[in-house]
Amino acid sequence: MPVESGTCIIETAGLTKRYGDICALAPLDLQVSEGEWLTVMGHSGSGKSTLLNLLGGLDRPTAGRLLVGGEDLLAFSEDHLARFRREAVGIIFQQHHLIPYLTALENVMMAQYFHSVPDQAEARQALERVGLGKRLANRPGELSGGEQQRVCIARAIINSPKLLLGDELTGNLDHKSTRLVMELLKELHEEEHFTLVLVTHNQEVAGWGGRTLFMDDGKLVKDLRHERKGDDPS
Amino acid sequence: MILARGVTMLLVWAILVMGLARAYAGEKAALTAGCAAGLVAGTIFGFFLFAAVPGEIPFFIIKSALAAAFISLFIVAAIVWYRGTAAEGDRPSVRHAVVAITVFLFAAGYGLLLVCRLPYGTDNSQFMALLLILLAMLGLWMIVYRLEPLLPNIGMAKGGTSLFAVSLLLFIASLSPRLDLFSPLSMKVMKLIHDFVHQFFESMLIPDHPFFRTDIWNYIGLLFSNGVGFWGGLAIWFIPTTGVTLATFREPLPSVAHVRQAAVRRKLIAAQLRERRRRLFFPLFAGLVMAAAAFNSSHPSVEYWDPKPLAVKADSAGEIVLPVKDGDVDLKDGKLHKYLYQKGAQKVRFFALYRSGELTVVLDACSICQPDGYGQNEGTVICYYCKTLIPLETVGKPGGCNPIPVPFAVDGSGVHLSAEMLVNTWVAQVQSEKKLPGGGK
Amino acid sequence: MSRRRWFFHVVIRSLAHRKGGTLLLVTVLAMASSLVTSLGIVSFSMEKKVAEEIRRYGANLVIVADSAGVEVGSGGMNFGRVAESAYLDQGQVQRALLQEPAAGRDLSFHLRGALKLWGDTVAVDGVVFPQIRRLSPWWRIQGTWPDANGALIGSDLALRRSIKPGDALSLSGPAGGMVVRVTGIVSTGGEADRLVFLDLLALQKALGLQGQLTAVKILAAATGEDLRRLAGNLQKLLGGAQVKEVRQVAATSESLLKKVQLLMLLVAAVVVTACGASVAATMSSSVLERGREIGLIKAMGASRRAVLLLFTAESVLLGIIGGVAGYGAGYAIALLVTKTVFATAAEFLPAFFPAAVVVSCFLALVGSTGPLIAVYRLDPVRSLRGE
Ligand SMILES: Nc1ncnc2c1ncn2[C@@H]1O[C@H](COP(=O)(O)OP(=O)(O)OP(=O)(O)O)[C@@H](O)[C@H]1O
Ligand SMILES: [Mg+2]
Repeated sequence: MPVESGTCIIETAGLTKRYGDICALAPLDLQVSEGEWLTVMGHSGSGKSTLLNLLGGLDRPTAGRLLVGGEDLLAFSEDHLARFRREAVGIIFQQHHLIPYLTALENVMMAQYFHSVPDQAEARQALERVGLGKRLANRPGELSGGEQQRVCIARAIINSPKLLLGDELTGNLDHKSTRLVMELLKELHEEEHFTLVLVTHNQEVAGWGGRTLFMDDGKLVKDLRHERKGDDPS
Repeated sequence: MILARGVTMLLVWAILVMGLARAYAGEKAALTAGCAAGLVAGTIFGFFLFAAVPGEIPFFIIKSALAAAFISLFIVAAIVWYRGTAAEGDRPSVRHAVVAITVFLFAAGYGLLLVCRLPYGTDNSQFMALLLILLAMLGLWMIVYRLEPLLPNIGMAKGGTSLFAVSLLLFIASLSPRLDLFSPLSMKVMKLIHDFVHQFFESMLIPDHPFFRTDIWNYIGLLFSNGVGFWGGLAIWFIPTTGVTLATFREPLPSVAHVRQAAVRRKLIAAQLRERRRRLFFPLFAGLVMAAAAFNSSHPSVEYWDPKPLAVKADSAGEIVLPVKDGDVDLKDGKLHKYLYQKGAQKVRFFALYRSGELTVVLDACSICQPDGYGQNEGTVICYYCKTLIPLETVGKPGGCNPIPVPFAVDGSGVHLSAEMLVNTWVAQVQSEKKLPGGGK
Repeated sequence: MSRRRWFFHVVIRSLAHRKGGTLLLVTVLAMASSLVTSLGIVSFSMEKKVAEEIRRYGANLVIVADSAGVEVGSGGMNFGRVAESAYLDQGQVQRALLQEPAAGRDLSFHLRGALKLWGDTVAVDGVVFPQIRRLSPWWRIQGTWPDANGALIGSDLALRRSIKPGDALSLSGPAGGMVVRVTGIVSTGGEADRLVFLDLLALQKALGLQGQLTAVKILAAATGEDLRRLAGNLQKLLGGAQVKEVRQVAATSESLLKKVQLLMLLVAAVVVTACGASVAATMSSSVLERGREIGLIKAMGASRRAVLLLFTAESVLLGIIGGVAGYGAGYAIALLVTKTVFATAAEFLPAFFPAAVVVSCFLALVGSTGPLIAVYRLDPVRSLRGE
């Protein structure tokens, strides 16, 4: 088990999100060190996606403190938050959201464009790295679910984020594809040293990480550190 | 009028100083000293020039200086163009003296033009100049020491400073037809093209071949149109600005190859691009100023001779007499003399004009336009409504947009008119209320 | 790939992706801008012509043969002309004018016809040179006024045929030919620029129309009511001819023009409003459809401004395409209208090109204001949840 020696990248205190009466996220205190691989599990409706959206700067908490990379996201303006999203975070969704009218390559370049300047060679390299070197010019509609998810991964890591967030990113994939994607993530995690937070229902996926949070009804019920699966392939 | 001029001048000064402050942000002392000295020196030299040399010569001198400045912009543009594409060398750091001398020149040019814009010859022009200079100094200090940190951080393009400053000076010049450079430029272009085409035809390089169908001749006819001078002049007018803008646009960015991480490298490139885009501001702004100058020059506030109508009364016999010579009024001076006759609520404007060796009297209106009246300018009168120029020889003839003639008699005592006839003609023929045919625009 | 090129690439891709919607929007925008363009071109070119003709018309009375149906309007503007020619009898006209001294002596006789010049037909006008010189003091002559054996040539024609003062023209008509020497080139900015002016008698001989005229222009000193009376008197003396006041002639063309303008204005207003509404509807549905995509690019870190820019650019691009197409279509409509209604060609007015594009862009932007605000406000979390 690797020792998490890095500094704290995520630090929350009393983080709360309410939708009217519904408390999607009860006051939550959490520390995540840099380079950690964290998995979040829980029942449907337990507030996992809500937590992830808050961490990614997509949404604002109702109350509490939220520091990412030492910066207080609550103090950010809307535009500053957008900048935070494009520079510090990569997000991968369950329904591998890709822009339908752009090719795989162009989808990756779109992320580069919003971040700084599009760079075709670099985007191609990123896609080659996720094993899609031959599907560059295909639109999302022409790719399989697993391939689409890999395009999303390439897009999420293209701007070298500090934080990579995945919301049920293997939810729609079969066992084999899931494995492929997870191996890819592990490889990237080792090379790029980003912090990874994955939300999943899948016990097997959770095994790839080094720490698992269990949530129920917006509350953190268990925080478990464990062996990482990829270290001894089964 | 004078006030508006003063305000415009101060505004231009403020813009000039702001631009210079951006260009030489690190050289506040040199900038302030150079500007102040240049302004004072330019103004004093201007007064000296007008006092020492008579007539149009000072204008000629100033205009030539402006032309030289304009031509030097071409050199600047050429240098920037050449250097811009060459590999990035270290820009020599600008020294205090260089900054001071540069801004001194610009400010001196401004001072000279300031003198031209003052109502020279009146007693209070010195006073006005002093006041303007004081205000300008105050503005200078305010902008350089107080306002400058608040201005957006826009870099100055190479060659942008002189482009910017000279374009402002040209703008000021364009406000007065005597100093304007653009009109003479387009005139020259037109002459050149005309002569060229004529030579071409004369030497029969274009034979009368059936291959040249009529529509081709139409295109050749375009070369003779008035637009040619204007557009040609415009093209030349914008060459320096365009040159510097394009050079800035093509300026190579510093290498970022040494940065290992791709995302960081891209970030750097984006920042450099943004920086370069900002540097385009001053050249583009200069282009805008040049455009404004060209506009001013082609829509001059030409002062038509249009005296205030003199009220006249009819005598008991219903006759109006205009003495040919009365004090310093001389009907035969070749200028139009406007009169106003009022009977009840009915006003009748008319004017007398001496042309082609005889006097004529006409209404200050024609029968097809709104009665906006006429103004006189070198050999023509212009109908203010439809802007038609009417040669002086045809004033007194009826028809078209000619002013409506009225019967009159001249004898030793002056011009005799019948008041009743004046009113009747006006009522019958001048279209004041109706919307008229022919009043197209 | 530079940022700018990438931006346009994405915009074009997105438009190309939604072929149907894009085509519909472009069509609608083109329709609106074509109407505005054609209306503008028709009224501008007509108004300009009418105004020009009136201003350049020295005469205030014209006499034309009755059966010719009158060239309503003047010069290049014909609102109806009967094909067969009819002529005035010169003797009759002269007698009538003698009986009516108020007509004055400022008048000119005209015989319009066509002669062959080097195998081509040119329009010629037979005039009495001293008369026309007195009547048209504004004519600019390069060269000198001719005598009875000379000719004046309009500047357009001169340029086209490269005729210079001093050249000899050999003209032939149905009843004979002649050789005349051009002494001057006349430019008036009007119809005269396309004519050859010959001596009246010579032309009458060449056409075999001795003692015949097509028109007499009179500059009477009388005005207003007097002029009307004079016209009436002359009319009585000249059966088989029409005596018209020039202003009256102009009024006919004006009123017809006004009616057509009003009609087109109404149609244009209705169409533009309808187009605006349909643009708004189409745009809204498109934005609604694309909520997920917008949420996604916002989640990717696009600032609200960047997203807005992307969508505005789409609208503007549609507007520009619509405007360009609209200008083409509008010009064609204008040509058709002027040809069928006014029997003259529309002027080529490139100034309306930017106008057409601006109208179309304006409409596209106005129509997409609501959707654009929605785009600006859209919350990425909600739209990604699939709202
Ligand atoms: N915009 C909203 N308005 C009201 N309630 C909301 C809103 N968004 C989420 N919720 C509620 O917040 C709670 C947490 O939702 P969340 O999406 O975080 O669940 P989850 O753990 O991701 O579930 P799943 O595993 O099904 O994705 C749910 O009860 C949900 O109904
Ligand atoms: Mg969820």
